[in-house]
Amino acid sequence: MTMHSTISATKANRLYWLGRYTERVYLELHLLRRYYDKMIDGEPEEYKEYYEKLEIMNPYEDEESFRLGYLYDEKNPVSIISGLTYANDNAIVLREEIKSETMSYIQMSLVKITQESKDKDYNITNLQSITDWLLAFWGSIDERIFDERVKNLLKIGRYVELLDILIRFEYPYFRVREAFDSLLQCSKMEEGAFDKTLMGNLDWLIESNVYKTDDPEYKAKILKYLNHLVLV
Amino acid sequence: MSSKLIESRDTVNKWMERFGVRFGVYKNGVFNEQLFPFDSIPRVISKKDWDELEKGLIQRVDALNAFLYDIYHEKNIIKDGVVPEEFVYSSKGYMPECEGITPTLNVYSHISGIDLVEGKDGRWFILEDNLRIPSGASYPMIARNICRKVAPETFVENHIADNRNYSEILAEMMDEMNQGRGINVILTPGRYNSAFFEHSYLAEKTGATLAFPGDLVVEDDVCYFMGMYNEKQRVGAIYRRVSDEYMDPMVFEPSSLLGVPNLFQAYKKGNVAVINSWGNGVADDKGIYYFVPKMVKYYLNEEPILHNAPTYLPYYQEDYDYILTNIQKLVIKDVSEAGGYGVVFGRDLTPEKLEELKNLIIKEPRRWIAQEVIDFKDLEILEGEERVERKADLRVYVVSSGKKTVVWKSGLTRFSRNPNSFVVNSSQGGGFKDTWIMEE
Amino acid sequence: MKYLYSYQSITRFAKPVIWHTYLLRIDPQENSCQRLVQQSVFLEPGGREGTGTDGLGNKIRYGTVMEPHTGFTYVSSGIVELADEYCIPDEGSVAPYKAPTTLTQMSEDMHKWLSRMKQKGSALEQALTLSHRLYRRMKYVPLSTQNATSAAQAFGQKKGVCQDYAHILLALCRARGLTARYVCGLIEGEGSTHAWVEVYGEDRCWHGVDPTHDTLITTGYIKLAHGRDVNDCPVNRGLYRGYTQEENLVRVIVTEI
Repeated sequence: MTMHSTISATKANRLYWLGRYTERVYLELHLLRRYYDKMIDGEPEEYKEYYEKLEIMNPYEDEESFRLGYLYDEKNPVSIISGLTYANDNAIVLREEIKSETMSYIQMSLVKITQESKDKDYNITNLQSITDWLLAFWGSIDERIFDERVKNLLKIGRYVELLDILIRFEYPYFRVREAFDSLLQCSKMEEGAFDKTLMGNLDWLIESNVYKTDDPEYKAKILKYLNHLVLV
Repeated sequence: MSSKLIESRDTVNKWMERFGVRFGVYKNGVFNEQLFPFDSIPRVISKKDWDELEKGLIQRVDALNAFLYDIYHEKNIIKDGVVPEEFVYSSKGYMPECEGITPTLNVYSHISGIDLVEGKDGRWFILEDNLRIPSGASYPMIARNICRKVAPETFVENHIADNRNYSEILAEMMDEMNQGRGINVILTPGRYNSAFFEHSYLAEKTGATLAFPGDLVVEDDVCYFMGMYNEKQRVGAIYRRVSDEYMDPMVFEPSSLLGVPNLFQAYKKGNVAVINSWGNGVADDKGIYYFVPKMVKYYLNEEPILHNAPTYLPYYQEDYDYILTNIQKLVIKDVSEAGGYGVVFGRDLTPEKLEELKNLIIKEPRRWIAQEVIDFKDLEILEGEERVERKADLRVYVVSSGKKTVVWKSGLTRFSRNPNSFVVNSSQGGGFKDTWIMEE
Repeated sequence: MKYLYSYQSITRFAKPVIWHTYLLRIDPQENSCQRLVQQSVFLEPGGREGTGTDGLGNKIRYGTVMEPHTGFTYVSSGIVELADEYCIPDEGSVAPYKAPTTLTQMSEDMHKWLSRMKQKGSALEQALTLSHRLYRRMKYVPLSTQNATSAAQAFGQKKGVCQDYAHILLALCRARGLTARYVCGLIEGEGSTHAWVEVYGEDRCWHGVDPTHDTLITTGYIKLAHGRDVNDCPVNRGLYRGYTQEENLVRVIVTEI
């Protein structure tokens, strides 16, 4: 007997957050690379924009502590090490759903970042393997999970996080819309897990003639709706 | 014979890290997940030795299951004077709540972890029976898988019994117990349990649903797994990794949040199998251990194949005299429930302390057992690149499903890192080895 | 003699709770000294409740209320006929009641205290002597102990409530080699349940001793449940989900009619 059609509330919650955290770390690595690149030619203060977009108080005084802080500071909730720790906290309790092989990519990433943090190396190219493993993680999910609901809950988390980051960093409309359309697609299988009103509101707010991320009020509203959308 | 494998110790450990093979430890109130170090020199058990062990273990576990049934039903073994009643009823493991309850197919101990040691003379002794929630099987499971990948030659050259069927043995037993009533679940106390890796790994490998406290509910004497929309799925068998007293706060420890309220009533009605059953503690008690060979004779009418470490009960006059005369060379164990002495070696005590202990034995003879000190055969381990000898024990897993009792051709060999230590507990810095059962 | 009894428990939750599981021992036992003439039990919200017996032969009622609710009420009432003498024959196995439990371990002080007393007479006479000496030592002080207070702790502080008196007497009896068990039930004039002790006599009967009132029980004691100590036979156990405060009111009426 290996029926897996029932997913408990806590498990649904963990799948959602595992999707979010792995996506967050993947995107943050990408963005950090971009900001480090900007800092080569521009002002060292460019980094301030990064944390302002994430609405995080910045405790780091200079460029170097910024670089280290967003990679290795365990007290910083949006650092790479924190994101991987949270991802691992969820992955560890989902082993039997996502399989040991899938989980191993998160384990390896966490072991890697922990080692790098000891060396205090802020050369981000050393973290390329984490990016690779996170992509392998999603590949492994597609390869190994046949429970469509499990896969779907992970993807819901992933698209919510993708949308969150795209909006914070003011990506162009079409990028946000295509991510939102993917989320809409996922929501069909798990209708009970979505707030229908918020879904409708978001659908309306993410229209080409309405979308304007330079309006702080609009941005705050859309982020709030997005983060209250999924009820798990 | 297996040099390639032995050289690959670090590679194997690296792979185990990758798969998150860890166990949790609390140190000063802080939870930490540690790796369980793998030593690549295997323990090798010859076919001849194993055949004997296998027969003896099946016999022992069958007798223990018969004992548990008897104790919670007719109690013939007490009436016939084989086991004195005070040993049964003063045992902390005896649960009057279980009186008259018949578990599915009469099986009490579905998964038994029997601890053995090998003496220097090659004789095996039973150290203790673990009939409640014996852990550790996942480590040799995953280690063998990795070893086969890392050093395939070794497994071509040596004829080692394949041990990759443990999840099948477990799943088959769970299905048997389930009787088609619903899903199989493995109930874990949660991520911060020291054996959480094992709970999740066994769920993955057996296909059972991993349930956390709060996922299960009992209504109308039927147990259900609750889904995210409050939809219910019936549960037919629970392989629980929560101990007896925390499993149902309505009947046992009322403050427990790890259990399933009123699960005991569903179990009593025969609507769900609980693996292992409630109340098994009475059979793996230190004081009852002495009587296990007698149970083999009593229930199976067979001569016991395996031996206990020579044990004396001061409750019996002959043993009482022997203990008081030979106390310096014996190990003395306190079997009483509360507080107490634990385990002491007579040879480690000062003359005053010995006198004190003797007086305690005279005062309350039932509280004590004494054993001969066994001269363990030490096993070689790699300390760095050097081979050194260390104390080790062996836990063998026996699975009973009512229809048959199967011994898994594998086991957990744990060793102590500390050269002077007799304690091979994994939380005290020890490690483990693969256990090879030879096919020829 | 006939007695009217009523046990009421009313619990109110400040906010709704869900997944409420309960197990109650509120049905009077039926034995040769206690006959149920009339009986009714009322539970709100009851949902679907189950009945049965526990491993020690006590009647139980249990169930789960999954839906949100803000109160939980149960009333057990009826009429029992009690014999003039409290003496319950038992041919079964009484061995579980010989060994000490976690709550009824003897302390050093208790051993010393006990060793100063002579051991003579029948099981019941011994128990009565112990009860008498205990009564002189202890002071009945409401709220001076908790549910998990052990016999040794209560003995040490020389005060307690009926549960503690019973636990200490059990520990002492068992230390003397007697077979004794804890009983919970209802008597006249108590606002709540009462606890006493049954001692197994040479006549293979259980006899009642009430250490709180230092008496040999004859009649007027309505027995609900027995066990090795209180943990075996609590009147109610319950667990629910919800962050809330609860308020509980218990009323007991026992009257000879």
